[in-house]
Formats: sequence, structure tokens, C-alpha cells
Amino acid sequence: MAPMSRQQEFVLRTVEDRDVRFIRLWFSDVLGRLKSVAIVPAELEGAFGEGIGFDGSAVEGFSRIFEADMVLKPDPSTFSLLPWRGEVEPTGRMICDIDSPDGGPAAADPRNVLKRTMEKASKAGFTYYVHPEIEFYLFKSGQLNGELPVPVDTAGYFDHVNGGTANDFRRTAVQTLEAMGISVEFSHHEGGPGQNEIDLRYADALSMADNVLTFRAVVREVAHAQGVYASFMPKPLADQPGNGMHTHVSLFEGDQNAFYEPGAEYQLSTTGRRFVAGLLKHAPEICAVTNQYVNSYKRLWTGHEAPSYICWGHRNRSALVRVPQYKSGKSSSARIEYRGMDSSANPYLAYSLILAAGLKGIEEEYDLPLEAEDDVWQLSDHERRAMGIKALPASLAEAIDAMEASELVAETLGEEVFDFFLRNKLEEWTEYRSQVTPFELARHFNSL
Amino acid sequence: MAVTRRGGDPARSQRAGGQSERIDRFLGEAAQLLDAPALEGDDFRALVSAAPDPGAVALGALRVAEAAQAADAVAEAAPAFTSAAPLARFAALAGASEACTDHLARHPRAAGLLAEPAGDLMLGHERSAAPVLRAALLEAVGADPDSPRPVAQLAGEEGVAALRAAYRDRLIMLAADDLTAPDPQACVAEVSRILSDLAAAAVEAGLAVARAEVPGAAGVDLAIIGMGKCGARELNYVSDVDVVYCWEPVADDAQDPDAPEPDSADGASSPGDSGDQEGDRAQDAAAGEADGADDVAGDGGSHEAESSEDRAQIAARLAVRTAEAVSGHAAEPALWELDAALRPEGKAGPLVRTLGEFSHYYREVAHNWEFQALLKARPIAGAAELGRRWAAELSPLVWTASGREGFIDGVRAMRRRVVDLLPSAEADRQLKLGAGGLRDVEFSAQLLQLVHGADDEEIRVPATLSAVAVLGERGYMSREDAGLLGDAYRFMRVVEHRLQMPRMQRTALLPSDEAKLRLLARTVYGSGDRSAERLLAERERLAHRVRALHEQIFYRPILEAAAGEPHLAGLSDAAARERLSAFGYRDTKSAMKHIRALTSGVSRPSNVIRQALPALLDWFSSGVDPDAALLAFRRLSEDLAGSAWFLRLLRDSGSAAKSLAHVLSLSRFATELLLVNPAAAAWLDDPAQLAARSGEELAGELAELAGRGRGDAIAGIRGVWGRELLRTALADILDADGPAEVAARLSAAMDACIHAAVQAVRAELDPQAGIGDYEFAVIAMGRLGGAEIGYFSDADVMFAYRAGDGAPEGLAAHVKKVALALTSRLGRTLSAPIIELDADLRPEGRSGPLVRSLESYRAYYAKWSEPWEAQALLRARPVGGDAALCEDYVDLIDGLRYPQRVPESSLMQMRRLKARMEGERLPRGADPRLHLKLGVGGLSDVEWTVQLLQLRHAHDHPALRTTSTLGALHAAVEAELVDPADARVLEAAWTMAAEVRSAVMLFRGRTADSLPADRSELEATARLMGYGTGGAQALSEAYLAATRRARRVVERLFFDFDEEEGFTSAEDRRAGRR
Repeated sequence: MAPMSRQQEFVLRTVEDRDVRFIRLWFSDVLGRLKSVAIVPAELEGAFGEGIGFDGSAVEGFSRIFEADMVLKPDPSTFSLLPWRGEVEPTGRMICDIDSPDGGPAAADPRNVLKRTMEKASKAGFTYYVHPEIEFYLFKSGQLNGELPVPVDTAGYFDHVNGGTANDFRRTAVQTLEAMGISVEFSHHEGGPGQNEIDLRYADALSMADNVLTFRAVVREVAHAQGVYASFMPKPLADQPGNGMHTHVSLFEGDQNAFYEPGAEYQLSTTGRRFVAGLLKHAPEICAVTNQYVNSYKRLWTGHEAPSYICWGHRNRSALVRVPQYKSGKSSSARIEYRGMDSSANPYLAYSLILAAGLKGIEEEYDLPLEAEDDVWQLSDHERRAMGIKALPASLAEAIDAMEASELVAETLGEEVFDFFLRNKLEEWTEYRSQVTPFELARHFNSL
Repeated sequence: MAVTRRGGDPARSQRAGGQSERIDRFLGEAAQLLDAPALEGDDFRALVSAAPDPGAVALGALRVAEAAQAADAVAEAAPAFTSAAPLARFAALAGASEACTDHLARHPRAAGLLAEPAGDLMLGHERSAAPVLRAALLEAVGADPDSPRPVAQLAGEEGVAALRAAYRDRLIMLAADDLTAPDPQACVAEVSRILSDLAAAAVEAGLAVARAEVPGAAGVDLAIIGMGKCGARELNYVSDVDVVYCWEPVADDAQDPDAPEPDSADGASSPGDSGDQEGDRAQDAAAGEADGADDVAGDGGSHEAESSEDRAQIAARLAVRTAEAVSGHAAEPALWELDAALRPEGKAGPLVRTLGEFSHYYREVAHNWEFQALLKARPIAGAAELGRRWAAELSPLVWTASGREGFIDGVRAMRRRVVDLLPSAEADRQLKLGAGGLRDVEFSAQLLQLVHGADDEEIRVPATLSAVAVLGERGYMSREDAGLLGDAYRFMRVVEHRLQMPRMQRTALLPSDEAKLRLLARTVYGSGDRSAERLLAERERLAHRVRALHEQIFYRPILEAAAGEPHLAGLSDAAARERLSAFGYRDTKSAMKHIRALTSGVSRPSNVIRQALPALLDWFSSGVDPDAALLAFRRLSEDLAGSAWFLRLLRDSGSAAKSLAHVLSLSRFATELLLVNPAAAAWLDDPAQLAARSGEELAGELAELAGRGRGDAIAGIRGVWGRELLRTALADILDADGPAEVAARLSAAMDACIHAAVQAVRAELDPQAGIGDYEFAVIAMGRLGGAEIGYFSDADVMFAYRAGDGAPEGLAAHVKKVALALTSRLGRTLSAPIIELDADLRPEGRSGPLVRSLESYRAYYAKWSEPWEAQALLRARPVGGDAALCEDYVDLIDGLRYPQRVPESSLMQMRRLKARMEGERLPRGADPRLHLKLGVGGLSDVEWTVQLLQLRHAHDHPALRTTSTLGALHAAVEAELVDPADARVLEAAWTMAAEVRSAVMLFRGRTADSLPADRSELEATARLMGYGTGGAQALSEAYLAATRRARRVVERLFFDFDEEEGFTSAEDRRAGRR
């Protein structure tokens, strides 16, 4: 067996010292939903060595063509204790890579998709950093019983809620995240009633994807402990803003921020401009992944500052890509913000595709279109057409269509994940379309 | 290095006569200057003549004499020229090494070192002991050998000069011993040992000089670890000395209070004169000041309080200065390169690291080859205790790493790459890296150590010669092999040393210049035949044997272990199986059984196989399934052991045996055919035999068989088919042909066989029946019609006949009998291989008559109302029977299959039919993405698309009138009916699916409907398709991508779906996919 690495030794020692009873092995299915297997400390050494075998066919997207048996390989650098398990029965968790039985990374492992894409960037000399602003709602209950969900408060953007659940909640959530080694930059009440936002401090994209996976679990866990219910659904309330996950992205070449160029417009370098151009050009193709549910398109197409049109701007809050203002003289914080994604996305796949689209722009030296200075929502269709501004897909169906024709997405996700994803989304769309909705009944039942 | 060398060397460029006179004159002058008459004596004159380069000895003597005179050192130098032993040393030295003469000319007093009356100067002498050498070199720079951190009193240029002179003094003493040794090969290991310890001593003295110059040095311990040859104590006269540096801070109370601390103003004077070194010096000085500033600010104001970062910088500066002291440019020439490139992260990593950092790196980051390097690592200078801890912490890691999956494979792959990268012009002259060279011996020993060292500590010895010896003693290689490897290694090392001596240059390349080669030979051989020819022949012979051994050394002891001859081998059954497992055999127990069966006995066959098997085992191990290959070889050998030619092939022909191993390890299909037709193994020896037979040749042979008119004619024809099948398969596996070529060869052979079979059957049956004149034809359909068959295709056919004058009674019954006889005899399954004629595609299928008259076909086709009904006829092609009937049949169907126009309703019918078939024909449970024929973007998709184009356009574009799928596709591009990019996508997918089908068939000997789901089958398929090792994943990715793209084109060109069309159609597409 390979020599035990320091990281692995550290985990083993911690497990022993802290009397950890269970270790949860976490991984993501192809849709970005958290999967978990618990092992006891005695199995840990074996898990580091040969890994833990499991039957992948039971997991969404893992029913591979070539073999169903898969192997979980925990990444010791992701070890942390689960704070909400407390001292009674201390529980640790690690995020896992998934290998196929013959040792190579499994094609269906989303974490591997991101690793592969980042490796490609690294060959071009780039490291990839992201930080997300994650929005979610707190509702009084997770049980709907045929009613609409009821938010925990009626406050709005940046509101302070006296003695409200939201403040307590955010404080506990932030403490829990920090206890798990996830740095929080900022948190506040968002626009909708019961809606909150927590921004994470930037990290390399792989760690951040791990963090987002963890974040969603932590937030749900803390909400549960406080007797409320957290939802990352893209658009839970028809007349309120949806849950976006604005994502700030930067590339570094060595120590240098590759997006930064003093004196350029908005200090955005040529590399940065090409990255944005790539992102805009391929936005429709990657949309089925950044906005992966039928419900995602309800958020994208009902205003509330969600970006429906493909353009970029500086201060423009209706643009899909924003080049934000940042502290002058601090080149390292130069970045761009992708505002399309929602909180339900699989971060591994979405980050992969954003990177791939941007890299494509850099490789092929795309030209960046003119900046959109107006609120594109206010423009007429003809004006937008005249300005060459196209729309994002209007439904999951359109997004699937755009993705299916995309070599970029197929190549980035790999043929297996690509095919699975398309089929899964198609099923969702087909089921959705077979509904007869309250809207139809209300509008037609008595009139037709 | 040529510092005091005179321009032009007259002694070397003149004719012998002139040279002899010049030698006498030089010796005379030298004798006078040194007052040493022995220089003119006959004894010395004889020594000079025997020296490798007599002129150089005379000139050397004169140069040393002149230098001694100029330096007022005659009294010290003269003793070297007065008695026999010293004179012999001088003659050997000056005759072989100009660099040694240079040193004596620079330092004439050093000649006195040669003056001892008898015995060796270094070899076996206590001066060569490591601690003595260390003390001597430290003292040369005025450092105290007993101090824990010795500091030189001579710093700067002076220290460097003293160090290097002291090193070279000892080097010439050693070289003198070496060159006068009666048997240099006997002492080469000891010479290497002394060179390594001397180098270590030089590094130690260099560090003492550095300590004198670098401020703050007292606060830092630096251990210098030798890697590679110096670490293993098997250094050459000149090679890079590879090191890594490990440091730690010295506990403040442990610092030597008496250690002189250099003053930054003048202590750091550097011998260098380059700008860089000036820069370094400036930096040093600046750092010194900064330290001073810290002193004021720090606790207690002592400079022991530097931060850890400062101390790391001090350690790095010590390392840099140490390297400069031995390798930097200075008045006294540099010794050799002190190279730290093997450190963690290579040149990108920090020069010095703490033990913790080393440990972290090797546990977390290091590559396999870096562990391999640890095998030879050893602390050579600096902080001894830290060095010991370094070794204790890191050396064991190699034994855990070597057990990793893929470690051994990686090590072997690395070696192959090195050989491949050698410039071929140099390969023959390379003593070190070339095939059969020094590196092969080193590599063989290391690989065995890595495989078995984890379990057997006894074999963990760093030096190659010791390792070879102990591996032999403990049975990991045969004693005989160990002896031979040792001898070869010693010989080549002696040659390498002699090659380096003249200018003390790092080289392992035999000179191409004749004069230099002659000189080298004279240096290698002190007596007897001293010609360059002998040298080259001896090297060639040894390299050849090492190369042969290198291929077998791992397997020979396995054979012995399998044979149960532990008294010979000593390799236990368990160790033998461990080794097999390291090389990729899975079922090692069975493998041992096969090996035992193959090699037991004293018959001639088992003797030959015993010789050949080690290499074969190695070749099998690079295939996908070594176990299956070994089993196949056993079966083949059992069949063929009696055949002289088979044994000859194994014994004499390396490349044919290698091809055989390749075939056995990759193709069960070809293996089975070989077992039927073992004589074909002989083709492997002759590339011409693997080429396709010409059409006439084949037709001639078949006509001959058919003409015999006997019942066994068809068996003969089947034999021809099997033979050509095998020939094609072998050519395919050994990579002679592309896929199109394979299909064309097989189709041509099958056409000819069917045609001949028709003749044979008719020759037999017609006379018996007394039937009058009639014509008979076999029409190929499907893939055979398209001349696109693979290793296993049913031959889809239809039978047609036409009565001659008058319509004889019973003709219809007779032709049916002919058709049945054809089908059953070609397809009789008693002995493979067969041709399976399948007439199910005929009109009305199985319920229709087996054979129809041409008129019956005409009547049947006349009932068709829709052009699409003729689709199957697009690939109809007569392959056997009477030419006139064939032509008339083709005329009949041409009107149908190339219609003037195809109405829209008919196109729609075709599209619907295809859409329905996609759902229905796919076998239950099959994955539509992987099914080669009916899958998404697979063979059918492409073929239907092309056939639709033919139906619609072949009437107007006669170039489309072909049964070949790709032929029609290319014609459609020519006619601008298809976009070239679309055609490329279709062709890529179609070709790939066909290739996969052939490759799977070759590998497992059974047909495949889908891309293999089994990993090793997929891997083998990839290998046969030209992907490298580990290509399974790449193949599946490429297949899925190619067929996905093809499907999109098919949807556009065949189904006429609009790309921009709304979602509804896309949904249908995907639904069809499910």
C-alpha cells in the first residue's frame, strides 16, 4: 500500500483524539445533490487505501455503461467535524472522489469533471477562483399540505429584523460554516420575505464546489435545528425574487490576476474580455446546467433583476455578466460576475462549464460585444434585436435543445455525463408538460 | 581546463620517426633540468614506449621539469623521476591523462606524491579511508575536522584553490594506482568507492569554506545528501555529483562559541569574477547587514536569534557557496558539477528544505521515479546527525512506494523511453545509455531490488556491483547471470573511466575519431592486443549479452522455480509468483503451472522453449491478458513441439517470436485459427507472406480445387478461406493494414471462394442429374454485397437461375439442390472456419422459393409499387456463377434501385420504417448508445442515410451507383449532394463502428454487437485499434462522441429534421434514443 500521507495521518489522529464515532463520506450525484455513506473509524484506513466500494447504479447519473461498481476515495484535505453533531457522538465528514474499479477516475463523477477542466486551464497557465453569493428562503415549514409556502418573516433587502428568526439563523449558520473551515464574506437579508443571502470568501473552484455542497447541507441542518425550513429552490414564490447564485470568477496566472490590466476599461484585461465573450457566446448552451430545473426558468423570466438577456455591463444589474467595481489598486480582486446561475445548480458541473466557455473565448480570441448600458428589460424586442442582444433559453426545453447541440458542453462534461444529463432533463420536461396547472384551470375551465 | 597547455602538441602530429627523436630530446632536457638521469635510461624509455601516448609522456616530463625549475621546486619534484616505481606511475599517468599532467605542471611539488618506492599510493592504503580523506581536505582549507561544524580558515579564492589542489593531489595518486594496476577490472569497485569518498570530502571542505564566508552560518546545520552514484559510492572519475540539502536551525546553546564569525566586509570575498557572483556577494553583504540590524532589535541582541526564514536563507546561501567552491569558475579549475536538480520539485523547488518538508514531499507529492532515486541516497557531508535522521526517515519510503499499483510498470516504461530518446547515431557508441550498456545493468539490478526488496532487506544495497552480487547469491537472478552482469559492468566501467581520464571530462561516448579510439584501447589494455578492434569487439560482445540477459533476467529464475530446482535458483515459489504478479500476470498459480509444463523434460523442444520462454513471458506481459497468452502458447507448443520449423522460429528469429507473442496476447481469434493451421506461424517470419494474395493467384488455386470435381473440393475451398482469414487477421494485428484494407481483402477472398464453390458443386451434381444447360448465379446482399465484411459476417445471398434452350423437367428442383448443397457444405460446422450463406433476405423471405429464375425475380419486382422497396437491392452484387445471368440480373434491378424519382410519400415511408425499426430491432437490454449496428449513430444509421441518397440521386449521378457505403458517400460529396464536413462525420462513425467490430472479434474470437462493457475487453479493443496502453477510456469517449455527432447528421440528412426546429422534434429524437 502507498505510504500514508500526512493528511491521512492527520485525519486518523483527529478521529482518534476526538473520539469520532462515524465518518460520513460525501459525494455529489450528477445533479449536485449530496449523497452520503457513513463508515466507522475502523474502516477509515481501508477507505484511504483501496477506497469504499458501492453500487453506483442506485445513484442518479452513475448507472454507467461500463460498470456499476464504483469506489469512493475520500479526500483527506476535506476532513472536518460536523458541528451540529456536537460532542455526544462526534461525526466527521470528508468529500470523496469516485473511481472506477480499475483505478481511474469514474467518468460520471462531477468532481472529476471539474478537476479535469481545471487541469486543462492549468495547462494553459491559469488557476481558477470563484466566490458565490448564495440566496435561499426560510419558510415556516417544509410541509406544504397543498398550501403555498409561508416565509418566516416579511422583511426585505438588508432589513434588520428585530428578534427575528433570520438574524439568529444567519449568525448560527455563519458560525457553523466557519467551524467547518468555510469562510463567510458577508450575509444579509435579501429582497424576498424570509429570503437570505450568504456570500462565501473566494477559493479555488474545486474547494468552492465542495463548500457549496457543504453549505447547502449546513443551512438545511441549522434551519431544521431552529424549527424552520430552508429552500434553495430557484423560484419558490411566484411574486417574489428567486434564489440566484451570482458567481464571481477570476483567473490567475501565477501570482498575477489575469483579468487585471491597469488603464484598461474597468481595468479588465484582454484575457478578461475574451473570457467574458466566451461566457456570453456559450451561455445558452450551458444554461441547462447553470439553471437545471423547470423551475429555474420561472426565476430567469419574471424580472426581479434576474438576467434574461445575454449581455454584459459595469453597473448594469440587468446584465448576465457584470464587471464589478472593486477596490482600486487591489489587482487581486479583479473579477467578473456571472449572474445567471441559481442556487440549485450542481456547482462542480456549473463551474466547469463557466470555465470551459471562458477558456474557449480566450483560446479562440473572441471579441467582446459592446457593453449594454441600458436596463435591457426596458428595451423593446426590436431594440434588443437591433443591438444584437439575444435571450437566454425561455424554458428548460429550449435549454436542453441548446445544450444538445453543444460540442463544448459534451467535451467538458464527457460523453457519459452529457448524455445522462440530457436524458434526465428531458424526462423532467416531459413530466412537467403533462401537468394541467391551476393556471389553465383558472383561465379555461369555465370559459371553454 | 587548458590553463597552461602549450599551443599545439608536436609529439602527436608527427610521423613516428620524428616523434621518436623528439621524445629523446624532451626526455634529455627534462633529465637535465631535474638532474634525474633515470629519465634518459633505457628502462624508462621502454615504459614510455609502452605508454598509451609516448609523446605525451615525454612532453609531460619536460613540462613538469620546467615548472619545477620555475617554481624553485626541483628538490621536491625530482624524487618522482629517480626510481622505477615512481617512473612507472608517471609514465602511466602522463601517457593517459593530459589533465593529470596539467595538474603536475601547475603544482610541480605534487610530483613528489608519486615518489613512494613501492606499492600502491591509495588502493588498500589507509589514506583512502573516508575519514582520512575528509580530514585531509578539511585541513587543506584550515578547518578542524573534529569540530561539529568545521569552518575554513582559508576562505574565498584561497580556500577554493587549496581545496581543489588537495582533491587533485589525491586524484592523481589514485589514477596512478588505477593505471598501473595489473587487473583494473578487479579494483574498479574500490576505485569508484575512493572517488566517491574523495568527492564527499571535497564537498565537506567546500561547506567549511562556505561557513567561513556566510554570516550566521553557525546558527544552521546543513546535511548534504548524495544521490545517485555518489550516494551509492560508485562514482566515476568525472560525473555530476547529485545532492540534496537538508537543513535545520542549531539550538542556540549548541552553537560553537569559538567558531570564527566572518566579517561581512572582507570575509565574503568570492573567487568568482562573473557578474552573477558579484551580485551574490553583494546580496551576502546586504544580508549580513540586515542580520546586524536584527541583532539590535532582537532579544538580547545576539545573532542566534534569527528567524526561521532568515536561517533558511542562510542555509540556502551555504548550499550555493558550497557548490561554487567545488564547481564555480576560478583560477584552479573546477572539479565537477555539484547538481541539486534531483531535489523535491526539481529546479522549481527551494534549494534547501527541512527534514519535515522532505518528509511531507515524499509522502504527499513525489513521483515514482523519485522514490527510485532514494534507493541510492546517503548523507555524504555536513551535519552527520541530521543526515542520519534524514536517511532513517526517508530511505524506508522506497519500499512502501514500490508496492504501489503501477510502480514497476512506470519504472519500466521510463527505461524504454530513455532508450527511445537516444539519438540513433550515438546509440552504438554509448557506453552508458545504449542498449546493453551500463544503465541496463543498473536498471536490471534496481528493478529486482524494487520487486523483492520490500520483503528481503538483505538485497537493499545501493551500489550496482554489490547489488548484482547479492541478488545472485540470494537467487533472485541466476549466479551465472549475476557473474556475467558483474563482469560486463566492471569492464564497461573501466572503459568509461579511461575515456574520462585524458581531459577529466564527463563523457560516456566512445570516440568516433580513430586516433582517439586507438589511444583509448591502449589505455584500457596494458599489454597484449591493445587495438581498437579488440576494444570494440569486446564491448559489442558484452553489450549483446547484457541486452539478451536484460530481457530474460526477470524470468529465468521463475522458470527454475517453476521447475522446482531451488537448489539451483533459490527463488522461492512465492517470490516467483510475486514477480509474475508485478509484471501483470493475474493468475500466477496457473502461470507457474504452464511454465512448468512448458519447460519440464529434457527433450529438444523443452530445451528450446526454456531458452525462448523468458523473452516470450516478457512480451506477453506487455499485452492485455498475459495469462491468456501464456495458456495459448502452451496449447500451440503442445501442437507444434514436433515441428522443427517451430522450434527454429523460437530459437532463431527474435522478431517472429515477438510477433507470435503479440498475436497470442491480443487475439483469441487468430490464436484459434493458428491452432487449426499451425504452419501459418511461419508467416510471422516473412512480411511478404502476410500481404494479400493477388486475385489471379487466388482464383487459380480455387479453380484448381473446384475442377477436381471430388466431394472434398469444398473442404479445400473452406481451407483457403480460413487461411486467408488468418493471413488478414495476422496482418491486421501486426498493424500492417487499415480497416478498409481488411474489409476489401476479406470480401475479395470470400467472393472467390463462393464462386469456386458454385463451380465445384455444379461439377459434382449436374452430371449426376443429367440436367441440360442452365445458368446459375449467387447474388451477394448486405455487407458482402458492399464488399465490407469483417472477420465474421454472415454472407447474405440470393440464388438465381435461367434455363437454357428448352426448359428441362425438374430444373427448379435441381437448382434448389445446388443451392442447398452450397449452403450446407460451405457451412458444415464440423471444422471451422466456415462460410455461412444466408438467403433470408430473398423475396418473401423464408416462405419464398430458395432459388428463383430471372423471370420470377422480374415478375416479383414488377409487383412493387414503392421505390423504397428496392432499398435492399442497392447493395446487391453478383459474386459467383455465370456471367451473362449476373449481367442480366444487374440490368433488371438497376431500373428499380436507381429510380428516376422518389415521391415524397415514399421517402416518408422509409423514414417511418427506420424510426420504427430503431425501437423494435434493438435487442432487449442493449444500450442504444453502444450497439454497433443498430445504435445511435451506428452502422445502420449511416448506411440508411447513404442509401437514401442513392435512391434519390443515383439516377442523375451515375457515380452513386455503387454497392460500397463509403464509395457512395464520397460520390455524393463529389456531386455536392452532401456537405464534406457532414460526410466526414458519417465516415468517422461508420469506420469506427466497423473497426470496433473487427477488433472485438479479433480479441475474443466471438462477434460483438456492442462496444464491450467489460473493461479488459475494451482495453484490448483499444489496443488493437492503435490506442496506447490504458486507452479504454479514450476509446469509449471517442466512440460516444463520434456516434453522437453522426446521429445529428443522420437526423438532418435522413430524417430531414431541421436543426433550428422547435423542441418537439428534439424530444422525439431523444425519445427515440431511449
